[in-house]
Amino acid sequence: MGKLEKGLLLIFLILGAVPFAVDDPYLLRVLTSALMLTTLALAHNLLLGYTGYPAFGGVAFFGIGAYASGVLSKDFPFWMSILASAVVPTLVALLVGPVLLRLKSHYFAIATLALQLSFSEMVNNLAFTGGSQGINLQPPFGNIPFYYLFLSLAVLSFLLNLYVDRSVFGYALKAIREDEVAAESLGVNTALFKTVAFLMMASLVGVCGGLYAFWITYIDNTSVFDPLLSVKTFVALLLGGVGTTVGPVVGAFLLEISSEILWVSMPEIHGVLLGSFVVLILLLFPKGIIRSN
Amino acid sequence: MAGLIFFLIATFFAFGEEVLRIGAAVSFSGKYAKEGELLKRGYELWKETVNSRGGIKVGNKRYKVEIIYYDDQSDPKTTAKLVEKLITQDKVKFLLGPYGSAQVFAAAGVVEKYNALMVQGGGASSKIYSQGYKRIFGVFNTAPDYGRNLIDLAVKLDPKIRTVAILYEKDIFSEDAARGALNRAREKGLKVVLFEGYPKGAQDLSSLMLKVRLKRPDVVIGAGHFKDSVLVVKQLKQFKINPKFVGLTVGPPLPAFVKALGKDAEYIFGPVQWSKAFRYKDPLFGSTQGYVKAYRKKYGEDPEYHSAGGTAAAMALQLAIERAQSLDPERVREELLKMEVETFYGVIGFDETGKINTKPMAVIQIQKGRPVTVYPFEEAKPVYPKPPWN
Repeated sequence: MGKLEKGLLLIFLILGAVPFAVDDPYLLRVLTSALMLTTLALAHNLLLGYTGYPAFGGVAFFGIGAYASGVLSKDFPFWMSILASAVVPTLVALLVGPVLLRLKSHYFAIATLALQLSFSEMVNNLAFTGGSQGINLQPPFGNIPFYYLFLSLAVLSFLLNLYVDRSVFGYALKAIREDEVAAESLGVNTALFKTVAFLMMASLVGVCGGLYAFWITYIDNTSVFDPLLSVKTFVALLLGGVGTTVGPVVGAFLLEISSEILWVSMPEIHGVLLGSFVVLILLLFPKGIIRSN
Repeated sequence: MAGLIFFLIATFFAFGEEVLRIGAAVSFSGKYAKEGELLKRGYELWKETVNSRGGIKVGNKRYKVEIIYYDDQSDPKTTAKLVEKLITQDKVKFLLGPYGSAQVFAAAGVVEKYNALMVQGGGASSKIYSQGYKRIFGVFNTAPDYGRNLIDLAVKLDPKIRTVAILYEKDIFSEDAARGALNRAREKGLKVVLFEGYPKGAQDLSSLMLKVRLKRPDVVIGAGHFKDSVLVVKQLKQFKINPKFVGLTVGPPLPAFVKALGKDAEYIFGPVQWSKAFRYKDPLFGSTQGYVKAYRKKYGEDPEYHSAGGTAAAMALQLAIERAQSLDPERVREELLKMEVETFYGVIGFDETGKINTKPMAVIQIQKGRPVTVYPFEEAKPVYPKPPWN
């Protein structure tokens, strides 16, 4: 493990102590949002960073996860619903993955976006998902448990990234990223490996959506299939450094915290400033703040 | 000597003056930026008027009002975060609502958790009142009333109508409104020839318009937000569809509607939460007319219902605080539940779910480029049937 990675694990440990140290629900909510974005960025990193596939509509699985737990929350306990928010998106990914993963780069990005928009329309029109009325959920507990759940999910995503970065499985993914035909000719089962990476992303993003649903207590298609969430995830990923283990975490926290600080201090023009800030960082660090080696 | 007395009086007032801070997370950017700004205008006018009269009276103390605004960027997750900030960091106990039903749900969860109190004039979904919230009060008639009132007016007009087509944008509010129209139309024995939704943010409704043209309905009801209301009118004209009655749930009352459509906006009906043609007395502004005058003086244009709803929500809160003689949200809540008071906005009173249940809605029609109230107060006679597009 590199220095940065050890440092990051230490930071996660410190984050675990935050609720004991300070009693500030607002800070907790900001950190929870940042951890949610961290998980999204890390999950997308598995596919974009290591495998070279930009799932621009990866948020589709966020929405599917949110709806899976939303629908089940009426009849089943919290833990069952959260389990469903991992299982259902994974199953959907298993169905669409082999087809979508035949496409590459832009085409793949657009196809996943289409997946997101079509699911958004579906839940908006089906009766059991509440149609445009959305779903109201009963939160099983307060903010602190949610904070720990999002924190654990972020740590889990980070460990998965670490594993992929170092393992033979990860080398295969990187080979696919560098040259898929060459990888295949060397005996890498590209279809299988790509699909597994896709499933890993879908399940992480799905659980994230499931937790979000219980946390915010209300979901409708515009809030959980929000294209802006994809944009934010990708900005975080590009800011921090694609294809690195630490980069996505740095990017997500930098984006969430700087946007928070900017609107608190300059509410009138915070959007403009945040945009300029992102552009500036990308000009200074074209490959993201953390470089891959 | 005179200077010294003045100084003493000034310091007395400066020390005797306390501040009541109220929080509001409203959209100033994103898709609800326009409505959020209108809502804020309503809050601000109320604040200035109350402060110019010495503030809110609680027992023998007077509190100047200060409103803390945050931009929720039209995102429910941000709304929840900001409400949490308002309550825990800014130590606010009373909140004025955000705009949009999803935002109201997000805020409500947090308000309930901290036993704060929110009066809102920004969410009209009837679902808000079926969640068991105890501390959320709303001054808007709920969405089904929007559609219901249009049908109520349409059936009163001569020649009689028989068929209705209802188009709606697929979101909470618009679908609720469309169902209100659907149910009332069925109650009145009308034939609903088309009831169909279109996706949010639709840029083209051609396929839907072809269906409407085939059915030749007497009445077309469009339930959506501002942009798609404009789109519905443009495309009705483009497809040469000429119903006797065109009613849109959102859009016609806004000055921007006539600006966007010009002559094509003529004779279109729209329900309003509130109309400046109302004739009510008011404890703060004197009357509905007094409110309109004050608004015009401050902003240079006539108020519409988003702003009026904002003012009414804030006023309901103020009156309840004054009656409770207390800043304890629990006691203020009890006063809100008991309240039945005539204001510029209509009679304000709430049922046990927090929904306003004492106030009618009005319907306006665009005549010569201006919205005039035609129901239930007749500022002018409704023009009916609607002349064909020119």
